[in-house]
Amino acid sequence: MNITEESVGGVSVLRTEGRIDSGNASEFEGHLVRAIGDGSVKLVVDMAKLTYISSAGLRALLIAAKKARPTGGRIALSAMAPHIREVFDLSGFSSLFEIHSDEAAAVAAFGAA
Amino acid sequence: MLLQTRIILFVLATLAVVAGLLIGFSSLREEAANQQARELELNGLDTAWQLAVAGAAGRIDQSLGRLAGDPEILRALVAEERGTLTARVTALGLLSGRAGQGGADKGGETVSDVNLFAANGTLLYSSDPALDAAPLLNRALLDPVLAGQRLARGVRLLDGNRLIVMAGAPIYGAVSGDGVVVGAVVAGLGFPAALDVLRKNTGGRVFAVGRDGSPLDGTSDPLWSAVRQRINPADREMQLLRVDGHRYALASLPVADLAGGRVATVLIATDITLAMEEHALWSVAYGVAVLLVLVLALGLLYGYLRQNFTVLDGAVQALQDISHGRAMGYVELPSGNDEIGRISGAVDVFRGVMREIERTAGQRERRLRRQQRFIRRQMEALAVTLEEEARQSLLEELRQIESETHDADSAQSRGVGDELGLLALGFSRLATRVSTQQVQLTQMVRDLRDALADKRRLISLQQELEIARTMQLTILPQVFPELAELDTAARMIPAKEVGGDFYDFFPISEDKIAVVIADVSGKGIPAAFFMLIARTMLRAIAESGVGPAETMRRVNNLLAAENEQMMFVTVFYGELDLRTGVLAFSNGGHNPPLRVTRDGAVIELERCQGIALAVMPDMPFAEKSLRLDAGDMVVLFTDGVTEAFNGSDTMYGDARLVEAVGRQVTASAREGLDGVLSDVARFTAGAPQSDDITCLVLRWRGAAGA
Repeated sequence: MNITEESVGGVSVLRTEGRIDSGNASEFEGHLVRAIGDGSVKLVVDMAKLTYISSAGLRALLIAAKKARPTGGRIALSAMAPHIREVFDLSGFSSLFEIHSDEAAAVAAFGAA
Repeated sequence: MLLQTRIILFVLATLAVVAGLLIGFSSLREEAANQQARELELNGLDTAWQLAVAGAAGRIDQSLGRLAGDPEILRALVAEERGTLTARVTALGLLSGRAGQGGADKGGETVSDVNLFAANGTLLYSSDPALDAAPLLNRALLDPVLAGQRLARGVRLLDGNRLIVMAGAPIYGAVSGDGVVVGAVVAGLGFPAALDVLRKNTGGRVFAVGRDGSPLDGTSDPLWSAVRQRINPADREMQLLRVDGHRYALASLPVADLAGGRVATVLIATDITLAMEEHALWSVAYGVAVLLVLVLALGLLYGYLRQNFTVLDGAVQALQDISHGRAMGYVELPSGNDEIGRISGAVDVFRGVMREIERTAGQRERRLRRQQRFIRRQMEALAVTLEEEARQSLLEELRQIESETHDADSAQSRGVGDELGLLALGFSRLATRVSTQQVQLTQMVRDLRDALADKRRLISLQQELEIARTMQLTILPQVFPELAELDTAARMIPAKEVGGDFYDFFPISEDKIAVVIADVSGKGIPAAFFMLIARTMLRAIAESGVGPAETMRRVNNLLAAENEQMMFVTVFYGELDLRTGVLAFSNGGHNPPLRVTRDGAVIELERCQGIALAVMPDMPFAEKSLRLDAGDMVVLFTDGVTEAFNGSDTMYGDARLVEAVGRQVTASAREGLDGVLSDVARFTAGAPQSDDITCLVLRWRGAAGA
């Protein structure tokens, strides 16, 4: 797993690469929590290079979402691979996140709103 | 050979001193002998002079006889007729020189002076023309002659410093000589007459000087100039003269007047050159002989000393050899009672002692070598316990020690003690390494102990986990009721860790059976806890018979209430009516089960809106239902099945599952379960299982009585 952080126009972008499974889910969680900060941040998690995410990774995202919700922070997911999209759909978590086709769209969506 | 040199020098010095003394004494003796010889010589010359005087006097005797035997003179003497005497004497022609013209004619000896005395001592005639001529003899000297006792002979100094040799005789009345003395006749001859006689007798060069040293005779002699310098008129002595390469013995004889008192000195120079040379030769020969004897003696002494010292040298050499540790050298030493014998005795003893020491030293050395070999072997054995690098360098050092001890030079020059020193060094290094290793080992032991403690803790934890897992497993229904309508089989294959998958199968009423398959997010104890909670809740609420959707809704609210950890669980919950074969179900984020119809078609159950449970409260859950045909198979599974990876990171996937399920169309529940799971196992082919694999198979036989 490889995670890079960048700030694009006031929006934090976390680019994920590789696999997220129970082994590195806590690391992923750490990145997310840091990126969320005090919770008011707008965060885009770009999954263009993500090949797999396990339930542990989903959990990490849920934790980040729960942290963001009270303070008005928003988490968007972008460029999910089809099988990962299916996981989100299947588990019903799609409704919990804003999902965009690519990073730019996600950033733009945040900027617009 | 300093001692030898000293001895020889000492002997030389002593000999020199002794020789010097001897030579000195012999010189003195020689001098004394020379003195005596000179004295004898002088005496001899003196005698010769006396003889010369006597000889001169003898010449006078003839004249005396003529005078004494002349009757005229006799008569005139008695008559005391002076004139007659004078005439007669003249007539006789005895006088030479002044008075006697006719003397030489007569052919007889002449005299230079004549005196005639009467019986009463009156001088009746004197050849001296002087008026008051002194008599040739004084009364004292005359009286004995007149008395007929003796003849006077000797030297007389006349006034006017004329020396004569004089002879006097009594005149007897009768010619025979046995008569009365009627007078005396004295005649004299010039002193040189005696000198001439002396010359003739001795063959030497004769000189005479007067009382005061004024020359009297011999001045014509070429030696005179040399002689005159050496004249001591009063001394009776012998001197040595060297003139023109000749050596002369100059005898000096003081001559006394008849009346006493020195009147002249006669000197006789004798050529002794040859004698002196001979003497010198003899002296040289003597000296050479002495020297030869000395040299011979010294040579003999030297030889003797050397011989003895050589022996001593031998003894000293033997001692030195021994002191340098070469006791084995053999030296022949003489025995005996003298010092050398004692030395050689001591040297023998000492040599024996040294040999003994060498022997024991050799023994000791051999023993030390044995010890050293032993120690080395032990060290090599010990080295085995060291780790590789240290062992190699230690063995290298041991080899070095070994080579040094076998190297003759180093062993001899350093001795056995140093070999042990080298060994000691190697040993101390070994000890250092061993202690270092000991420290490391101690540390390792400590670490191991800690690790062991950790392991024990881990083991106990694992044991607890094992227990927990076992409990968890046993909680899942292992045995399904034998129902005419329904054949059920299920299995949960946990991943390495305790997982969160579960299935459940329980009646909720007389005719309805609840069937559950669920997947808790995460692994380990938290997931297991959550799983148990979820399972319990589901059972509890399901048994209240509110139906699948409501059950899901309530369970979701309950689980979401205190869920800090954000655990969630995907659940498929179904209720099967055994009378009708109607399966009512609700799905919370779980994989939709597969249904296989009798003709082999595999289709998913309808998708059902519903989020995974425990994420958020008040979420909607839909409910769907479906009537099963007899012979239908429903396969419930978790994503551990579809997401099983093989060695090349490929997922098993839905497609393969569908295929595998499709193949079980005629199988019993158990067979179908086994078939699917073995297919998955074949696919993963030993790759590590990352997630629990859970599968539940239902085969609907049909309603009872249908």
